[in-house]
Amino acid sequence: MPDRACLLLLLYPRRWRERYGAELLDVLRSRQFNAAAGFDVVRGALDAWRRGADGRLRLGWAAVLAATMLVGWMSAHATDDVQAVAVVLLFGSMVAGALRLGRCWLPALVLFSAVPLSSLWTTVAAARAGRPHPIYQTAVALVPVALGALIGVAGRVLLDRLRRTPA
Amino acid sequence: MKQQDSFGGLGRFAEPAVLVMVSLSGGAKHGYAIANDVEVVSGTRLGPGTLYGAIARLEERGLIEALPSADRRRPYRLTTPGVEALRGHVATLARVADAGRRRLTDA
Repeated sequence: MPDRACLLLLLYPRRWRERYGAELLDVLRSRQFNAAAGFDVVRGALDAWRRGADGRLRLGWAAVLAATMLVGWMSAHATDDVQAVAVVLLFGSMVAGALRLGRCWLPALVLFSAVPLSSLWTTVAAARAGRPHPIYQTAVALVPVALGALIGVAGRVLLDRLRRTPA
Repeated sequence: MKQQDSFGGLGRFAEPAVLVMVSLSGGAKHGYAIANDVEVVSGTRLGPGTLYGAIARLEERGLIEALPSADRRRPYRLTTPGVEALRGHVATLARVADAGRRRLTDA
């Protein structure tokens, strides 16, 4: 039972767990654990996420969504000239890698969501000219993404080291 | 209107929040003691997720506050605005209950 309680607690946002986790666990362990209690905890966790115990998280996902739409739009409109898309991917990944080391995988998520979705959109919207973007375009686009993320992460690590070095 | 400001927008947590505050009006308690007290007083069994969803909202609104504690069982108590809000809410509930009782007697 305690293990199940601990696992359920992991459903909550980290900040929420840090503040109320020990207390919630205490209440869970003091009572008979049943399906209703488990369901209530899951519902509570969904509510905690929905409320945005961490408001920045919602903002972060909104930024990811906006980036997905931008990349998707550019991908849908790119014909032979894909340099603009590559530049956006490169700089976007660089910024994401530099800002959050642990989130440097996000540009890849954006890429793999945006390109197939925009291909689908293009195909549906213009059926006569519908030629879906082949998957290799996505694979090729990974190059600027990986490069950007690498530069961003490297820059961040270098900056952190410089800051830690005593003058 | 004041209690509507204090308890408004709590959604499904409105009733649990009032129950938690009524429990705390009898003195500071930790989560488990609140849940037990609520069950005794109202017959409502608050699930752990609902209980802490209500506690988090009340604390955020400054209606209750956590007291320092050495162990993991952190007690909570009503704040002064919390007492005022509960007083107003209970008065409204009493008026509604009186009206309902009177009308049922006349019916």
